[in-house]
Amino acid sequence: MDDENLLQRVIERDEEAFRALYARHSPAVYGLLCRLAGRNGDATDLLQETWLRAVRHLSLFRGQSTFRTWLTGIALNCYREWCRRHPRDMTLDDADGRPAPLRAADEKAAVSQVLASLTPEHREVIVLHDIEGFTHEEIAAALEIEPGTSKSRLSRARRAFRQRWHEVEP
Amino acid sequence: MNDDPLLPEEQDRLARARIPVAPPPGAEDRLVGALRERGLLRRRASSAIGWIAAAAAVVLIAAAWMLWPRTVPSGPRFILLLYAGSDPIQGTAADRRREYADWARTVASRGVAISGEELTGESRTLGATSSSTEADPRGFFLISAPDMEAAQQIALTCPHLRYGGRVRIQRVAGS
Repeated sequence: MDDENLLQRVIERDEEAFRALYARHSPAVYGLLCRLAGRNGDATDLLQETWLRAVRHLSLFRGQSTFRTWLTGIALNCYREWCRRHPRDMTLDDADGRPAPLRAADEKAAVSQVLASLTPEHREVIVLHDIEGFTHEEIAAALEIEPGTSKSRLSRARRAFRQRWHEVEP
Repeated sequence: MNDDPLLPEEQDRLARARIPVAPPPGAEDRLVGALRERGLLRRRASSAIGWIAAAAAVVLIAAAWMLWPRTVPSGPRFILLLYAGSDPIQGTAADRRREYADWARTVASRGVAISGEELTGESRTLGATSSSTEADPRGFFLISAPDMEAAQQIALTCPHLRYGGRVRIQRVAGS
């Protein structure tokens, strides 16, 4: 059953349709949230809030984008609000500001560790642009910044990523 | 503006980081509960299928994680081979069997034909020798799905991954 049919059934409060929709889209959205917020309870809370808002406002979804894109936009809004509420939780650096030493067993783990060691601004723009494939215009809309800011931030973020990568490269 | 372009190997490295992650166990049920409380979802009505599935789950636990097909799928079928991961499988066997049975029931409730068996470590290999050193699978599920992508989406929710295991998906020939 395609998304459109499932969405109609969820609007009619069909639990099975919701579970099917959740199974289809949650791994991708949860993966994004883990890369942004860390693989911990915060990402789970953010996923829950994302779905709560999505279902509450499902009648507003007009199909101008795919449901996955719409849901991802809601997830990013939730993430931005979470950042504002938890400014100290956003950086994974030590209390004295120095990044924690990195060790990685394989490439995927190394990428995760390097991302976690970046500042939130750098992590966001690399995750959204270089991993998720967002355009600068889409990032600007999601993060409430100018497209030019997204571009310059990405340039700095890539330099920071490279510098950290050399320390952790498996 | 200098975009500081990525090198090809950097592009590949980051592209490979775009991996789906299965939400933790229980997250779906907690969310469904929260949506019910808000009146956004209706509780699933009990049905004959639900009772059959519940009975099947009881048999599963009692008979050491045994599940048989309730329907014969006519479309593509995929086998999910369950292997141990690099770390020891976590949790007790009883917990895993219960959770795997619950998962199979949930998958079946979505119209997916599913069957499965747990495998023992007792095995023999006949015929030509192979250089493969891959460990034996611990069990398998046979599922119906329209294509490999859909099969992967189902496999991503399999609790075996959360227990640190590995799942290999292969399409059944002729299906």
